[in-house]
Amino acid sequence: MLTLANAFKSISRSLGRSLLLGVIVAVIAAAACVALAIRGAAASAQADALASIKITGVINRDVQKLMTAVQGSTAEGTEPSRPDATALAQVMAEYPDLGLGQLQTYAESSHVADFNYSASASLDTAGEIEPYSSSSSEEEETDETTTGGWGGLPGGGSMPGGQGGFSTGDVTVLGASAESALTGFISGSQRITTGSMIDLTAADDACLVSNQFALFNALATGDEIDLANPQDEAETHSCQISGLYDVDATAADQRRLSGLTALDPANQIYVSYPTLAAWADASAAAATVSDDGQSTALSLQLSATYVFSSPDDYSAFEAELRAQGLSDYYTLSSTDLNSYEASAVPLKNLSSFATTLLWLVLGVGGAILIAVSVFTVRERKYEVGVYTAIGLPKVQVALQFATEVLAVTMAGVVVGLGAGAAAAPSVANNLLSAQVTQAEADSSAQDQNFGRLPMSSGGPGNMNMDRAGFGSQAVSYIDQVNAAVDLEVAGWLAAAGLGLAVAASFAGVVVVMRYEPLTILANRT
Amino acid sequence: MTADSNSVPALAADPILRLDKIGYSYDGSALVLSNLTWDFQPGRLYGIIGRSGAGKTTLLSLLAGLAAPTAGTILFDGQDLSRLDRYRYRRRDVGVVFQSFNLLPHLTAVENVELSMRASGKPIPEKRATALALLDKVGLSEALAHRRILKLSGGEQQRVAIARALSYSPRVVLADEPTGNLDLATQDDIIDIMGALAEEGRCVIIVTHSPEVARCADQLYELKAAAVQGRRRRRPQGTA
Repeated sequence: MLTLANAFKSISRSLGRSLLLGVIVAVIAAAACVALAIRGAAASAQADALASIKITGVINRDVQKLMTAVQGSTAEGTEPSRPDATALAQVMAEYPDLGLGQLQTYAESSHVADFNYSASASLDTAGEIEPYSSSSSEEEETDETTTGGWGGLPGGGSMPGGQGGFSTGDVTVLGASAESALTGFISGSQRITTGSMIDLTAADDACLVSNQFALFNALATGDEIDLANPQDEAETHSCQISGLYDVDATAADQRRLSGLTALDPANQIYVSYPTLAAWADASAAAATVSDDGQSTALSLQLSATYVFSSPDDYSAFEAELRAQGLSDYYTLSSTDLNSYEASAVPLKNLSSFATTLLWLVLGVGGAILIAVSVFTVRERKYEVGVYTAIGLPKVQVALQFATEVLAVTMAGVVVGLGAGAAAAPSVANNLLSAQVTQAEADSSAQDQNFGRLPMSSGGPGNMNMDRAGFGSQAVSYIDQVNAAVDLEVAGWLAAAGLGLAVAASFAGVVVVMRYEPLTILANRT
Repeated sequence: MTADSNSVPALAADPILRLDKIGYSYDGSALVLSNLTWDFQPGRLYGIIGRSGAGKTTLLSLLAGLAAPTAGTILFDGQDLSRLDRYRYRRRDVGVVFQSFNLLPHLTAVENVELSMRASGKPIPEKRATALALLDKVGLSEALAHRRILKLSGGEQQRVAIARALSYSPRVVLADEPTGNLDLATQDDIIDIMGALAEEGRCVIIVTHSPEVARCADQLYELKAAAVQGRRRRRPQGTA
């Protein structure tokens, strides 16, 4: 009680000294408060952004790695050269696209929250039906034959009948296994405006076509359309229009840049996976194989998507794939995570800056506080001498001084907390804005260096990669944080203040304990 | 040290403080005090005189428990002072009036007195009123009692230091030149106060250069460099 009374009397009677210490602590606390609030807000914003995105992953065959491997084995010790076609074909055959069965086996992992798949095939229109195009019809007559896979479909794998090359037809038919595979409808870039959704579990030859395609061909729901195998025009497949859908204009414009009608979203026809699989089976049964091994069977590209609840699950799944023996020539990749990582760059920079600021403030501030405390105790040496001369134990005197430092420090922390709380939101957003501007400038300069066109922005997790390879990833940076000072920040600040007060007090106590009353008083005399 | 045994009266009471062949040196070689053996009885006023540098203030520091002798023993109430809690001894059993007062400047006069009362841990009722009464007794008005120390004159500070030393009724009062900063009239007041304390049964030991104070001592010890050169006894007028 005597210690407390003495401490508070000393604080009130030595206002100048107390104010000096208090102001120093308040400044340290305000800066630390801002840093803590920014860190907290950055972490929270990252967590929110992460929670808002659906983390999906696809397993791809890493063609580049395979080509590198072929180059390494055939041209060892020589200058880099074009990979040997035969060796490349052999290694591609050795590491084929994964089949649906294997992909489904992997989907049984406990880390996978959902799994969907779809297959796509390029078909020609038959009869009166024409693919939608904004250009002249003559330009569209030429089919384009490609060899190998269709680069635009992630996770693609060949279905039975897909031997060798194939021709791109007029339209793309996509057979989905579940609604979650129809990402355009989920994101809102596509939506059914007339008719109804098809049953994705039934092989009922029902389909969805775009409004543009329907208008272009004067079609309505209930009408039947014929599609032909580009390898064998005599082979046709029919489906009945169940519904019409609209396509987001921006997405359609971007896809149209390729010049291929099959890649135009307006020429995308949706059927159920069982329907498309039945068409492929029928085509394979009737297919013929040419002398050079080319089959006329309808070629399907499989796309399988794994959905994860968290980035940890994603990482664990990848580790599990390797443990199950999946070759390094297959990669698990996630555009969502990549997009999230890119969008969070300014936020991470801000968080890193705040962390550095925090340690700097606490380090320098702590050193100043300790120095002030030691200096103050030395200034009050006479006081120590008097207290101990009248019989107060040194420990009690030290406790009194520590109480003074603690009280003033905590008062300074409260003031600093208030100032920091007021300043944190604007400081955080100004700093973040600067980081975003910097990131955008860097990205823009990079795009210009590659001669890319400006891209429209998507939200976090909405990575727009042009199928034809034009443009870069359009990233929407997280540019706002709520750096409010909450109980957690206040708690950390109080703990930091307490730590500094203890450190400063301890330094003062060490000084006090060194003093002997007689020496102090004799020196003064 | 030599002792004039013929001049020492027979003392009935046990000494409250006894110096038993004590010596003291600051650096382990140069002796400030050497082979002192003195007794201090309760109810008596002692004067310690000596030239500057004879070790008077050092002796007072030893008696106050602020330093320990490098040779010999100091006994308080028959107990070796070095074995006692010297902080407790200082805050309860001995009151010291320092030559330079050693008051806390951020406190008022009455707060300085109250602080010692509280530090002693003794059950002193109405501490503020008691402190004011004590200050009044040493001649400091209530108005002055509420002033901070630095706003008091040297003489007023001296009075506060005396009041503080007496505030918790210690059995031994040590004073280092208590009249050094005072005018003649105030010196007389202080001498009277010290005499009254001795009459109350306390052991009052005053280090002084003042012949006035020396004349009033029941017993006078003289210190010379590194040794006591004699021991005399004088009885002040009006005392037994």
